[in-house]
Amino acid sequence: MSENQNTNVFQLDIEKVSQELRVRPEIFKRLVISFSKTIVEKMQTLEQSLNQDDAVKARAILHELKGTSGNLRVQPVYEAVDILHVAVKVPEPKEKLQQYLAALKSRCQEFIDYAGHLSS
Amino acid sequence: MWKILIVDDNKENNELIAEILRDMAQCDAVLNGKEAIEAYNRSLQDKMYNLILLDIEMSDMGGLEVLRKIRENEKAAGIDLGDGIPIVMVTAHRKPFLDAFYQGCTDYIVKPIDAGKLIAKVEEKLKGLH
Repeated sequence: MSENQNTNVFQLDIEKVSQELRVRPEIFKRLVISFSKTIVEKMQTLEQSLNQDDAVKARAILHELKGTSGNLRVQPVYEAVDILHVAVKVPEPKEKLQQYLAALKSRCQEFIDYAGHLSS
Repeated sequence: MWKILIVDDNKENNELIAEILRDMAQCDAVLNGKEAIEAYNRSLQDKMYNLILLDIEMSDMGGLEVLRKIRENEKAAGIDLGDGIPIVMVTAHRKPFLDAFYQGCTDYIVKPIDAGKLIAKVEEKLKGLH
């Protein structure tokens, strides 16, 4: 199975994005896999921060996730992070934050699954 | 070849920028503000670095504080602000950039990184050194 033919809903055109970013595809692929391996821990910390109403820490993690997902063009994660980031800043009610967090977790899981196919 | 110090608390971002700039510069990367100041201070005498790319929002020490400390160290070493190392801030926000401007940064680029704009900006600053 090629890297763009797995059954996951998330897809990233490694060749196209590498060209856009003017980087070698093998390096870009390595960075995508590397980023995917950091997400679980970051999401756990994010969830803890939100549960403890620690907006400062939550915003710092979201900022980091947003920066890297944006740079690597992991668009669904980037957009879900952005929504939660804005909601934490406002701040929106806790139920809304939990709803946005759940959406972000789904996007992250799809990305992790995709990256798992890339590295296998 | 030019030599650039990249400062961002995210490994993937550092490696991505170094890869984008690979044909024009040799890049060293550090993951926090303390290491950035140490690396720059070590190279202050021989001017090892030609430019610093400095992320504004980092967890341990923010980019603005790193910028301020580097400019203070340059001043203590007798280097005028205009002769200091070019420091390009990397930011997702414009407001911190204005603060950075008043503290002596040279320019800024916005995240997510646009490779063409990054290369053009770095090239412009490095060519301005001659």
